[in-house]
Amino acid sequence: MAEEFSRERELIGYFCDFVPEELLHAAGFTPIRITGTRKPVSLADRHLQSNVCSFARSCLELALDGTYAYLSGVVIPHSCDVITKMNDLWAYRVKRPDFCHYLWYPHKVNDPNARSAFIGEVRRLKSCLENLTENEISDVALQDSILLYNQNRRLLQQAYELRETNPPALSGTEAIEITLSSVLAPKEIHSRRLTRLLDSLKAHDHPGNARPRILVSAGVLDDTDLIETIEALGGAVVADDVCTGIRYFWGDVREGGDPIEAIADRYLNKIPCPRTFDSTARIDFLMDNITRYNVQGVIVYILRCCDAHLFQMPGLQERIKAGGVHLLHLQGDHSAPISEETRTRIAAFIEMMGD
Amino acid sequence: MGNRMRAKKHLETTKSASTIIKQYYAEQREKQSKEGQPVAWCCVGVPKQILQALDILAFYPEQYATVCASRDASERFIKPAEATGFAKELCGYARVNLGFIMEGLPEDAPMGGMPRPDFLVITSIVCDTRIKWFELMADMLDVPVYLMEVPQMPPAGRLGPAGNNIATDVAGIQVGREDAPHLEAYAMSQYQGLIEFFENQTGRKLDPQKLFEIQQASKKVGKLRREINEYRKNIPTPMGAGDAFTAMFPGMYMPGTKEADEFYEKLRAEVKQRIDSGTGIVNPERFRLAWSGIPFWYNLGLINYFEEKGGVVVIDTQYGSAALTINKTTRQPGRWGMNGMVASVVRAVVDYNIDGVILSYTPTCRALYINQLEIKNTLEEEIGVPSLLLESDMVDPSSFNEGQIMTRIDAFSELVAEKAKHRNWAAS
Repeated sequence: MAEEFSRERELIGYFCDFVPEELLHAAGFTPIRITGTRKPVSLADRHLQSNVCSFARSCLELALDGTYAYLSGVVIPHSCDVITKMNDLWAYRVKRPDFCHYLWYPHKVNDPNARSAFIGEVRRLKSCLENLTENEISDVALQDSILLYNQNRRLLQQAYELRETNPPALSGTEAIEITLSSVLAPKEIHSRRLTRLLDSLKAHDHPGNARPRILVSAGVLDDTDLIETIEALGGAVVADDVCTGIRYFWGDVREGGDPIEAIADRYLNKIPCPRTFDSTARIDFLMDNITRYNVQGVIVYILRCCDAHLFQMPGLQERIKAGGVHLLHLQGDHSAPISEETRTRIAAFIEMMGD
Repeated sequence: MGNRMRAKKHLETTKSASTIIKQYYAEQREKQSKEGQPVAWCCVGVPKQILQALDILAFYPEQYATVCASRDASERFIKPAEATGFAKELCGYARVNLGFIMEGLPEDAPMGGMPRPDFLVITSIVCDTRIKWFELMADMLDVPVYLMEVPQMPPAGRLGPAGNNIATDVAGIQVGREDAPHLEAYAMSQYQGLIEFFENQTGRKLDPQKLFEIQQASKKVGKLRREINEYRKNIPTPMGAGDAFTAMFPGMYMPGTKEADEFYEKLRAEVKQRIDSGTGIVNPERFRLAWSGIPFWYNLGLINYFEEKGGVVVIDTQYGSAALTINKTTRQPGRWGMNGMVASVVRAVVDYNIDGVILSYTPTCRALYINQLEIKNTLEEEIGVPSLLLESDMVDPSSFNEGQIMTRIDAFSELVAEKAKHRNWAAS
């Protein structure tokens, strides 16, 4: 699919959800999120031991085996100690693409000085892209890209609203398919198809049995396996706290004024990754969504060794349980299919909620 | 593990380090009970001179975790932290400190524990994990926390040559690049913000003259330590990493004090004297090793184990050697990026006439463990130096697999001893 898209418009890959896609798009590229697979890792074993973040290892594997050779560039942000090092490895060990850009992103997203610094970083990315394409990125192009990306965000928001009903008009599996295709596909195509889908969903009734309503909280979720498993075992995933889900699209870019500042502000004010200093906004947002989506149980799926999530886990657990909501903590592993043990635990959790 | 694995010190001066550390903690304790004495918990990298100029008493949780580990006390705090739900794969230093807080900051902890802080200060130059860990501690202790954010950039260019680093001299940190002046400006605003935070918290005003004098005075320790490291290049080496790990405390935590200056002057004299008399750590010195990464603090004696085989760990690349540039590798040395770390180790190998490298693989330290395989690959590919990956946590002794580690060390020592017979760095 990606290779097909790359024939239309060159692709730039990026990690995490702090890289301003509007800017990459205005420069003439289609930005796509770097994701991994659950395939066993072999080439990356030589560079990262098996107990390093399984998501990072999987992404590196695909970079080394040439899967990402169709990219015309890669942008790696300062996310965490591990993703930061993807820049070093990509720059030194992966031969293509030539354009490998490191984007600093602050921890103190609410600090006015950090805002100035990040605006500077977005401007630096802009001029590096201009050097690469030998074309100036105009304010008009930026405004157009902002409108395109905002439109997609609003459509995704509408899709999520369909999950508030009981039973939900859109399953969790369908919802993650929609957001994952959004991080991977050109927005022009995605928005067109999503509009058609939303129209048809709104035109029909959605009968079905009420099932335990579940929110999935995870770091990166780049396939449908976990949510599909939960739904196959009888749960209804009605909401998420995932950087490839609601955290990806929540919050628009201001339309009007200086486009670079507007873009920088959106990425600073977005629902934070727990890696960010003072990321309570994430937990507040998660708690609000428990109410909004009438959630009965939360399944937390944290990849092994993800410090940012793990440090917040005991506090989060306490807050969720204090609200009378059930919680299941699963240790995630990106390099293997959902295990039999995990299935059994999910099944027991759903059964308990059904009682 | 018992006493066998405690570090053996070869130098008389290093043997006196524990007295200095004890005195330092005793003085801290005396001071902390004074009325109105502000207490801060900081991480390494927070400019100590400002704390000193404002007479703020500073404690360092990560250093305190090593104190607990080297006194067989880390498990006491790791257990309650894990029982509360802090995963075993989280930073060992963090788990010790979280447990210490959960246990109510007990005074019967090693060195009398750390007193309750009035505020916490943290910087981003060391790792991202510290930010989450200190934020959490501030929450648990219900005190304010200041993050001095220091953006760090990889060198310009794909392989990292010619990165013209902008140094912020005052803070002693390295940030930004010529194409990113906005990041240098941000770092300076963060440094200013730190001073304002201290002034607001303590109601004291920073005296710039006093700060300048402390900054001048604290330069001496760094100079002495670099000089001592130069002498360690000698064959046989007059001082190995075992002594150096013990001797690093005054330099890291007491710069600008008379005690620290005197300690390193004495150490320098002893090192020189050992060179003059041809006294090595082992006799004969069959092979020379470098240590990359954090030592296993509960098991510092592991470093001495090589001595039974005629080997010596000459230098450590984390706290010991400071590298600048080198032509031996395609990458340029640096402090924190992976490629910079790789090149720093290569540089140390050549400079210190090293035959093999021990890579300490501390699985709970993201910032460091992630570099180790690339260091191993590069040593083999680019300069043909063997290395040994030893996996264990820095403060959690339950992670140490003695039988397996010793077997591997024995085999590695044989390999390196053989290789050392043909060492020829001077010619390369």
